[in-house]
Amino acid sequence: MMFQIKHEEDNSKKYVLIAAFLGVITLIEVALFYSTSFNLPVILIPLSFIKFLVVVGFFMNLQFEKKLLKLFFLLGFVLSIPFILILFLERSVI
Amino acid sequence: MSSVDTIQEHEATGVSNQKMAMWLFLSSEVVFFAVLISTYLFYKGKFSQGNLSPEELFDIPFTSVSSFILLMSSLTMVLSHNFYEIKNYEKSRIWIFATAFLGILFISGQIYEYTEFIQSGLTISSSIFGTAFYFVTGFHGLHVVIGVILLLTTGSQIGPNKNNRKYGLSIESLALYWHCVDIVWIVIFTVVYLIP
Repeated sequence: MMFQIKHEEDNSKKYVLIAAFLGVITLIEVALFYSTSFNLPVILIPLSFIKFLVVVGFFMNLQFEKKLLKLFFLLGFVLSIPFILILFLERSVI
Repeated sequence: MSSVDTIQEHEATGVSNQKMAMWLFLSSEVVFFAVLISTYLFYKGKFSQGNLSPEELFDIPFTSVSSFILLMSSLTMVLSHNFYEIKNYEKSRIWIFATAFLGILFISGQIYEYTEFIQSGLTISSSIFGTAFYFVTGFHGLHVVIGVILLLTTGSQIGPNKNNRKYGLSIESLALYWHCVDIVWIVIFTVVYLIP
Protein backbone atom coordinates (compact mmCIF):
# COMPACT_ATOMS: atom_id res chain seq x y z
CA MET A 1 0.00 0.00 0.00
CA MET A 2 1.44 3.34 -1.10
CA PHE A 3 0.76 5.35 2.05
CA GLN A 4 1.36 2.72 4.65
CA ILE A 5 3.58 4.35 7.26
CA LYS A 6 5.95 1.91 8.91
CA HIS A 7 7.89 3.01 11.97
CA GLU A 8 11.66 2.60 12.15
CA GLU A 9 12.10 3.18 8.42
CA ASP A 10 12.55 6.35 6.40
CA ASN A 11 9.09 7.57 5.38
CA SER A 12 10.17 11.08 4.36
CA LYS A 13 9.13 10.74 0.71
CA LYS A 14 5.65 9.59 1.71
CA TYR A 15 5.30 12.53 4.09
CA VAL A 16 6.44 15.00 1.40
CA LEU A 17 3.81 13.56 -0.97
CA ILE A 18 1.11 13.90 1.69
CA ALA A 19 2.18 17.51 2.36
CA ALA A 20 2.10 18.27 -1.39
CA PHE A 21 -1.46 16.90 -1.48
CA LEU A 22 -2.41 19.19 1.43
CA GLY A 23 -0.79 22.15 -0.33
CA VAL A 24 -2.78 21.44 -3.51
CA ILE A 25 -6.04 21.34 -1.54
CA THR A 26 -5.17 24.69 0.06
CA LEU A 27 -4.52 26.15 -3.42
CA ILE A 28 -7.89 24.82 -4.62
CA GLU A 29 -9.59 26.38 -1.57
CA VAL A 30 -8.08 29.80 -2.30
CA ALA A 31 -8.92 29.51 -6.04
CA LEU A 32 -12.52 28.64 -5.16
CA PHE A 33 -12.69 31.62 -2.81
CA TYR A 34 -12.13 33.95 -5.78
CA SER A 35 -14.65 32.12 -7.91
CA THR A 36 -18.17 33.49 -7.68
CA SER A 37 -19.94 30.55 -9.27
CA PHE A 38 -19.72 28.17 -6.30
CA ASN A 39 -21.58 27.80 -3.04
CA LEU A 40 -18.45 28.19 -0.89
CA PRO A 41 -19.45 26.49 2.39
CA VAL A 42 -20.69 23.40 0.52
CA ILE A 43 -17.29 22.94 -1.16
CA LEU A 44 -14.84 24.42 1.35
CA ILE A 45 -16.06 22.54 4.44
CA PRO A 46 -15.54 19.06 2.87
CA LEU A 47 -12.12 20.14 1.52
CA SER A 48 -11.13 21.40 4.95
CA PHE A 49 -12.39 18.14 6.46
CA ILE A 50 -10.22 16.13 4.03
CA LYS A 51 -7.15 18.14 5.12
CA PHE A 52 -8.11 17.60 8.74
CA LEU A 53 -8.43 13.82 8.24
CA VAL A 54 -5.13 13.58 6.33
CA VAL A 55 -3.17 15.41 9.06
CA VAL A 56 -4.83 13.42 11.86
CA GLY A 57 -4.55 10.10 10.03
CA PHE A 58 -1.05 10.30 8.56
CA PHE A 59 0.91 13.00 10.40
CA MET A 60 -0.56 12.26 13.82
CA ASN A 61 -0.63 8.57 12.90
CA LEU A 62 -4.03 8.12 14.51
CA GLN A 63 -5.09 5.51 11.95
CA PHE A 64 -2.34 3.20 13.23
CA GLU A 65 -2.96 3.93 16.90
CA LYS A 66 -4.88 1.88 19.41
CA LYS A 67 -8.67 2.14 19.47
CA LEU A 68 -8.54 3.75 22.92
CA LEU A 69 -6.62 6.78 21.59
CA LYS A 70 -9.03 7.13 18.67
CA LEU A 71 -11.88 7.17 21.19
CA PHE A 72 -10.10 9.81 23.29
CA PHE A 73 -9.79 12.09 20.27
CA LEU A 74 -13.40 11.49 19.26
CA LEU A 75 -14.44 12.31 22.82
CA GLY A 76 -13.36 15.92 22.24
CA PHE A 77 -15.85 16.31 19.41
CA VAL A 78 -18.64 14.61 21.34
CA LEU A 79 -18.01 16.77 24.42
CA SER A 80 -18.04 19.98 22.38
CA ILE A 81 -21.59 19.30 21.10
CA PRO A 82 -23.41 20.22 24.37
CA PHE A 83 -21.34 23.40 24.69
CA ILE A 84 -22.22 24.46 21.15
CA LEU A 85 -25.90 23.66 21.81
CA ILE A 86 -25.78 25.87 24.93
CA LEU A 87 -24.35 28.67 22.75
CA PHE A 88 -27.24 28.23 20.31
CA LEU A 89 -29.74 28.46 23.18
CA GLU A 90 -28.02 31.52 24.64
CA ARG A 91 -28.12 33.23 21.28
CA SER A 92 -31.80 32.50 20.77
CA VAL A 93 -32.50 34.02 24.22
CA ILE A 94 -30.49 37.16 23.33
CA MET B 1 17.15 3.17 36.80
CA SER B 2 17.59 5.41 33.75
CA SER B 3 14.93 7.84 32.67
CA VAL B 4 14.22 5.60 29.68
CA ASP B 5 13.25 2.77 31.98
CA THR B 6 10.87 4.96 33.94
CA ILE B 7 8.60 5.39 30.88
CA GLN B 8 6.36 2.41 31.37
CA GLU B 9 3.40 1.34 29.33
CA HIS B 10 0.15 1.09 31.20
CA GLU B 11 -0.52 -2.61 31.68
CA ALA B 12 -4.22 -2.56 30.93
CA THR B 13 -4.17 -0.29 27.87
CA GLY B 14 -0.78 -1.01 26.29
CA VAL B 15 -0.31 2.74 25.81
CA SER B 16 2.22 4.81 27.73
CA ASN B 17 0.72 7.17 30.30
CA GLN B 18 2.40 10.20 28.72
CA LYS B 19 0.96 9.42 25.30
CA MET B 20 -2.49 8.79 26.73
CA ALA B 21 -2.31 12.05 28.68
CA MET B 22 -1.29 13.88 25.50
CA TRP B 23 -4.28 12.53 23.56
CA LEU B 24 -6.61 13.45 26.42
CA PHE B 25 -5.12 16.94 26.43
CA LEU B 26 -5.64 17.20 22.66
CA SER B 27 -9.22 16.09 23.17
CA SER B 28 -9.74 18.96 25.62
CA GLU B 29 -8.16 21.31 23.06
CA VAL B 30 -10.73 20.15 20.50
CA VAL B 31 -13.53 21.14 22.91
CA PHE B 32 -11.86 24.48 23.65
CA PHE B 33 -11.42 25.50 20.01
CA ALA B 34 -14.75 24.04 18.86
CA VAL B 35 -16.52 26.33 21.34
CA LEU B 36 -14.34 29.36 20.44
CA ILE B 37 -14.92 28.89 16.70
CA SER B 38 -18.66 28.40 17.24
CA THR B 39 -18.76 31.61 19.29
CA TYR B 40 -16.99 33.41 16.46
CA LEU B 41 -19.55 32.12 13.97
CA PHE B 42 -22.41 33.39 16.13
CA TYR B 43 -20.97 36.89 16.31
CA LYS B 44 -19.38 37.12 12.88
CA GLY B 45 -22.01 39.53 11.59
CA LYS B 46 -21.94 41.80 14.65
CA PHE B 47 -19.37 44.39 13.60
CA SER B 48 -19.90 48.11 14.36
CA GLN B 49 -21.46 50.44 11.86
CA GLY B 50 -18.70 52.38 10.10
CA ASN B 51 -16.17 49.56 10.60
CA LEU B 52 -15.04 47.44 7.69
CA SER B 53 -16.74 44.04 7.31
CA PRO B 54 -14.67 40.82 7.66
CA GLU B 55 -14.72 40.38 3.86
CA GLU B 56 -13.27 43.86 3.38
CA LEU B 57 -10.69 43.43 6.15
CA PHE B 58 -9.22 40.02 5.43
CA ASP B 59 -6.24 39.79 3.12
CA ILE B 60 -6.82 36.26 1.79
CA PRO B 61 -3.62 35.91 -0.31
CA PHE B 62 -1.54 36.89 2.74
CA THR B 63 -3.41 34.53 5.10
CA SER B 64 -3.18 31.75 2.49
CA VAL B 65 0.61 32.05 2.55
CA SER B 66 0.54 31.98 6.38
CA SER B 67 -1.66 28.87 6.26
CA PHE B 68 0.71 27.22 3.80
CA ILE B 69 3.65 28.00 6.11
CA LEU B 70 1.88 26.37 9.06
CA LEU B 71 0.91 23.39 6.91
CA MET B 72 4.53 22.95 5.86
CA SER B 73 5.61 23.18 9.49
CA SER B 74 3.55 20.04 10.06
CA LEU B 75 5.64 18.39 7.34
CA THR B 76 8.92 19.48 8.95
CA MET B 77 7.64 18.25 12.32
CA VAL B 78 6.69 14.84 10.98
CA LEU B 79 10.08 14.63 9.24
CA SER B 80 11.80 15.41 12.53
CA HIS B 81 9.84 12.64 14.24
CA ASN B 82 10.56 10.30 11.33
CA PHE B 83 14.33 10.88 11.54
CA TYR B 84 14.22 10.49 15.31
CA GLU B 85 12.55 7.08 14.88
CA ILE B 86 15.31 5.92 12.52
CA LYS B 87 17.89 7.30 14.98
CA ASN B 88 19.18 10.04 12.69
CA TYR B 89 19.29 12.57 15.51
CA GLU B 90 21.17 15.29 13.62
CA LYS B 91 18.52 15.46 10.90
CA SER B 92 15.80 15.24 13.54
CA ARG B 93 17.27 18.30 15.24
CA ILE B 94 17.54 20.23 11.96
CA TRP B 95 13.89 19.58 11.11
CA ILE B 96 12.75 20.47 14.62
CA PHE B 97 14.48 23.87 14.28
CA ALA B 98 12.98 24.26 10.80
CA THR B 99 9.54 23.72 12.39
CA ALA B 100 10.28 26.35 15.03
CA PHE B 101 11.41 28.76 12.29
CA LEU B 102 8.17 28.24 10.33
CA GLY B 103 6.19 28.72 13.56
CA ILE B 104 7.99 32.04 14.15
CA LEU B 105 7.24 33.06 10.54
CA PHE B 106 3.56 32.28 11.06
CA ILE B 107 3.43 34.32 14.28
CA SER B 108 5.23 37.22 12.58
CA GLY B 109 2.55 37.14 9.88
CA GLN B 110 -0.17 37.16 12.52
CA ILE B 111 1.40 40.16 14.27
CA TYR B 112 1.57 42.00 10.93
CA GLU B 113 -2.08 41.10 10.24
CA TYR B 114 -3.17 42.33 13.69
CA THR B 115 -1.32 45.61 13.14
CA GLU B 116 -3.14 46.12 9.85
CA PHE B 117 -6.52 45.31 11.40
CA ILE B 118 -5.98 47.63 14.36
CA GLN B 119 -5.04 50.46 11.97
CA SER B 120 -8.28 49.73 10.08
CA GLY B 121 -10.24 50.15 13.31
CA LEU B 122 -10.81 46.52 14.30
CA THR B 123 -9.72 46.15 17.93
CA ILE B 124 -10.66 43.59 20.57
CA SER B 125 -13.18 46.09 22.01
CA SER B 126 -14.47 47.74 18.82
CA SER B 127 -17.25 45.17 18.30
CA ILE B 128 -18.40 41.68 19.33
CA PHE B 129 -16.97 40.46 16.04
CA GLY B 130 -13.56 41.93 16.98
CA THR B 131 -13.62 40.25 20.39
CA ALA B 132 -14.57 36.87 18.89
CA PHE B 133 -12.00 37.18 16.08
CA TYR B 134 -9.07 38.10 18.35
CA PHE B 135 -10.04 35.40 20.85
CA VAL B 136 -10.07 32.61 18.24
CA THR B 137 -6.93 33.64 16.35
CA GLY B 138 -5.15 34.94 19.47
CA PHE B 139 -5.57 31.72 21.43
CA HIS B 140 -4.38 29.77 18.40
CA GLY B 141 -1.38 32.10 18.12
CA LEU B 142 -0.65 31.56 21.81
CA HIS B 143 -0.59 27.81 21.18
CA VAL B 144 1.89 28.36 18.31
CA VAL B 145 4.13 30.46 20.58
CA ILE B 146 4.07 27.76 23.29
CA GLY B 147 4.84 25.17 20.58
CA VAL B 148 7.80 27.19 19.29
CA ILE B 149 9.24 27.45 22.83
CA LEU B 150 8.84 23.67 23.30
CA LEU B 151 10.40 23.01 19.86
CA LEU B 152 13.43 25.19 20.59
CA THR B 153 13.86 23.60 24.02
CA THR B 154 13.59 20.03 22.70
CA GLY B 155 15.71 20.79 19.62
CA SER B 156 18.53 22.05 21.79
CA GLN B 157 18.49 18.85 23.82
CA ILE B 158 18.89 16.33 20.99
CA GLY B 159 21.69 15.79 18.52
CA PRO B 160 24.95 13.89 18.09
CA ASN B 161 26.84 12.97 21.29
CA LYS B 162 23.76 13.48 23.45
CA ASN B 163 21.54 11.04 25.32
CA ASN B 164 18.84 11.13 22.64
CA ARG B 165 16.89 7.99 23.52
CA LYS B 166 15.11 9.55 26.49
CA TYR B 167 13.42 12.19 24.30
CA GLY B 168 11.43 9.71 22.19
CA LEU B 169 8.08 10.22 23.87
CA SER B 170 8.69 13.96 24.24
CA ILE B 171 9.21 14.36 20.49
CA GLU B 172 6.17 12.23 19.74
CA SER B 173 4.03 14.28 22.16
CA LEU B 174 5.42 17.52 20.79
CA ALA B 175 4.66 16.36 17.23
CA LEU B 176 1.08 15.51 18.26
CA TYR B 177 0.68 18.95 19.85
CA TRP B 178 2.07 20.72 16.78
CA HIS B 179 -0.15 18.79 14.36
CA CYS B 180 -3.15 19.59 16.57
CA VAL B 181 -2.26 23.30 16.34
CA ASP B 182 -2.12 22.83 12.56
CA ILE B 183 -5.52 21.12 12.29
CA VAL B 184 -7.09 23.86 14.39
CA TRP B 185 -5.71 26.40 11.90
CA ILE B 186 -7.05 24.34 8.97
CA VAL B 187 -10.53 24.81 10.47
CA ILE B 188 -9.96 28.49 11.41
CA PHE B 189 -8.66 29.34 7.92
CA THR B 190 -11.74 27.86 6.26
CA VAL B 191 -14.40 28.91 8.74
CA VAL B 192 -13.09 32.34 9.76
CA TYR B 193 -11.36 33.58 6.60
CA LEU B 194 -12.77 31.77 3.57
CA ILE B 195 -16.45 31.20 4.24
CA PRO B 196 -18.36 34.46 3.77
